[in-house]
Amino acid sequence: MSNQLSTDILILGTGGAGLMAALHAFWRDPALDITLVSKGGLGKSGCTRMVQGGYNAVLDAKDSIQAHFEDTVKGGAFLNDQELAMTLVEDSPRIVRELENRIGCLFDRAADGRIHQKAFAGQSFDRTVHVGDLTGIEIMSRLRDQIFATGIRCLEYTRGLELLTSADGQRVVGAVLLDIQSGKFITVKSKAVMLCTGAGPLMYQRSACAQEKAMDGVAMAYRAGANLMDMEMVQFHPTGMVVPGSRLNGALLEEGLRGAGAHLFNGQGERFMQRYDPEKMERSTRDRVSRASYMEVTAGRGTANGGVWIDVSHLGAEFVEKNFTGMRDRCLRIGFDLAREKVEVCPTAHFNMGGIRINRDGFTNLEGLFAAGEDSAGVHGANRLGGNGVAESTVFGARAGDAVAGWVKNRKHGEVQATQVTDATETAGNFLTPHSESPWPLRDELGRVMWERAGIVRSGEKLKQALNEIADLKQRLEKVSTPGGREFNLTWQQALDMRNMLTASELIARSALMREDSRGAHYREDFTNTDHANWLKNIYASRDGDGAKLWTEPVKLTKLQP
Amino acid sequence: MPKITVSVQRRASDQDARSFETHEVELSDKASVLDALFALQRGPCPDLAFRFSCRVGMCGSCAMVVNGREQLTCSVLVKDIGNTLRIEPLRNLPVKRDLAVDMKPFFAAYQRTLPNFTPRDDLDPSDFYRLPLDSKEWKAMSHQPQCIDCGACYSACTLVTLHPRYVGPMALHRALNLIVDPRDKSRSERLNLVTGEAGAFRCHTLGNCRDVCPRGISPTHSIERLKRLAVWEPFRKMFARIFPA
Ligand SMILES: Cc1cc2nc3c(=O)[nH]c(=O)nc-3n(C[C@H](O)[C@H](O)[C@H](O)COP(=O)(O)OP(=O)(O)OC[C@H]3O[C@@H](n4cnc5c(N)ncnc54)[C@H](O)[C@@H]3O)c2cc1C
Ligand code: SF4
Ligand code: FES
Repeated sequence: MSNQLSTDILILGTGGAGLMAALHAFWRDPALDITLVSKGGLGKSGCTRMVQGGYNAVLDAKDSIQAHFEDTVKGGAFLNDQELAMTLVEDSPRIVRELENRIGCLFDRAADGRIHQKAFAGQSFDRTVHVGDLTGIEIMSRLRDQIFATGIRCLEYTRGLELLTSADGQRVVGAVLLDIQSGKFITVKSKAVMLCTGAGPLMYQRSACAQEKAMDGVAMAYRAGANLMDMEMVQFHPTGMVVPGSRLNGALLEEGLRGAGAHLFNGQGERFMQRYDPEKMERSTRDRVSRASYMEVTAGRGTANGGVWIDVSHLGAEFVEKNFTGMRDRCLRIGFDLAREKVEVCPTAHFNMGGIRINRDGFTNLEGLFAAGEDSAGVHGANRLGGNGVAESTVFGARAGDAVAGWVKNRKHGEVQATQVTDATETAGNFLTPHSESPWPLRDELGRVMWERAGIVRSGEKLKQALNEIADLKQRLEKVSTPGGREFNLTWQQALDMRNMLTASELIARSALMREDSRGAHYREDFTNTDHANWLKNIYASRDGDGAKLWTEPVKLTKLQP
Repeated sequence: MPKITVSVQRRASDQDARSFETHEVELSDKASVLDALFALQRGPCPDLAFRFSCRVGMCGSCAMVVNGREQLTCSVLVKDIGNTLRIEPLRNLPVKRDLAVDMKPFFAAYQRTLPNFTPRDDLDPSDFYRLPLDSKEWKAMSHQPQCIDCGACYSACTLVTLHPRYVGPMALHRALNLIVDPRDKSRSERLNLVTGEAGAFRCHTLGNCRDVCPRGISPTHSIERLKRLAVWEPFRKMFARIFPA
């Protein structure tokens, strides 16, 4: 009932991380058999495609690696793995030049013909390379063109469903996939599997991310026995659009607006950042601005729709029209002219700093399992700087691609355990047998629970409630059925998404409950201080039978101390 | 907002007969056509097949034919179209199911035009190619908005319908972009590829592609430039031989 495939390297996800990994592995050794799998279209899915503002890299003689590193680690509230953070800032200049000179991206130039770097919030130097305010289209389209030229196999509209391991669970030997269009399962035997599915906090009712993402990679890795880290660290971007009754709700207005000098006003017309970060004001880091907006709204000082206002009109209509064309179009569509008036915004779930524990080359604790990009953890610590995300996915995708190409050499395929395949296909197929519930109300319910109880402002009380509600939703998911057949049934896919999002939500809430301090994106109203004495620690999670085991390990402050 | 009547094409595969299913849905006044499909999915058509990813007009997955015209469904508001929607899959491409087409032929045509950047051998890998905004090179480049490969132009093009080998507007637009890119080394080869039988000279300048492009690109304009470049190419080559740079 399931098709078979054998390959050397299986890469799940075709965002910046997945495509860079595939290209680098291919460049290393064109004889390798590489298989890319995308839940959406090749180059047309995931968040790299949606990158607006741009890509951080130290390119100017007046900037320095040390400055970018310090911005990254301070921004991350010292929770970063400093090795990984340093790797990011050291490699990103080379990789962004590779994107331009080898892959073919054409980034914006300054008048004199040199590369243009724009201002992003939270950084000491204007180091963000970009293509207008829609940078991701260029990066993904050009990466896709190069993938076409290599002839690498790509299974589109196909999802990774479950990883397959050796009998002792120590080695990953392949994966079970589901072809969304035909509804058929595919069993893949692979020497190495790389997760690049881009995590994605879509379990929150407002999220900026690509709609097909559902924490699949992180949940699969967890079930297979990988170590996860920093799961409580979920970034909320301060300027999500407010569009009631549309999926556009929560879509992003880019960071560069604040970088360029945008003002934020509450419902009473006050520039409220004065109260929260009088020095940096709107150019403060995302976590602070999001929290400030959230608190204004909770205190009853929000707009009618529960948001705040962003205003760039004082920068001049012409400036905004020229530099933020994409953002202006997006606002015009819903009846606001960003160049001439204020626009309603509200924080929106944006990025997972936490995920799979990796080293500099994408290795995980399981043999044969690699991860890169948003699926992984450690680079950004407790808060990611704007412009470090796409840099991470391309830098670590490239590194992992290089590493995996070397690693699979002279290695044989592992033995696939037939029972694991049956388990995976039966678990997925169960949603097609008639039960009672639809997955949609569950999704709404989870969105509300996570937003209200495990969101921007958390407390022990709220998180315990969240965990109860998540447990309840897990039970209800077992009764979910999805009418229609196997073929291209998006409601069935939704049920499968829910399974992974519930797993990840539980880990987020449990880690958040464990962390009794406030740091970066994680804010506890019952522990408001950043407690360096006790909490310069990463929280790890891994599967333990049917439950999760959580533990802490101190951050290694090898390069920079608080 | 009043109730909207939405008809969607249902079709199990390209071989299957076309049929339409019609429902009334209630939507907010900021709802996009894609939102209308989400409403159907949560209500009467849970297994309706359609494509989307970003819902902000960047991924180009969600183009369909709405009331007879190609639209990027996430980026067009229902209220700007009317109280009755008739939604069909893109034309000139095989239907996978319902509103989702198979984009493979579209990208296969694209791949025949050498769409990947081929860097000049003398590019300095440690810098970015200098392109002053007042230079001739910069001015000669194509400065149209970024293409999101949504396929709307391919769907709307009469010549694609008539000549399935014709690579279509988007592929030609991409080719032009690369041909005028001073960093790329395959100008002549590419120009040859895209000005043959299945390329630029197939275009009759009807302008359908320009009319439907959700990004405001005029592939027509790029194709016209390709035609001119092809005509001048022999002279350019001769010139280059006489006066090597
Ligand atoms: C709106 C928005 C704007 C952003 N702007 C910026 C910015 O300006 N600068 C910046 O640095 N960062 C930005 N980011 C963050 C940046 O996009 C991410 O950090 C980065 O692109 C993640 O890359 P990735 O390759 O890990 O994942 P993604 O690019 O998200 O790709 C994930 C891929 O995995 C696929 N997938 C998912 N599940 C499965 C599965 N089960 N099986 C197979 N495939 C699967 C998806 O379809 C997709 O192809 C932005 C993010 C968003 C949402
Ligand atoms: S040229 Fe326009 S219509 Fe054609 S694929 Fe590109 S964005 Fe779509
Ligand atoms: S969903 Fe991405 S362009 Fe419409």
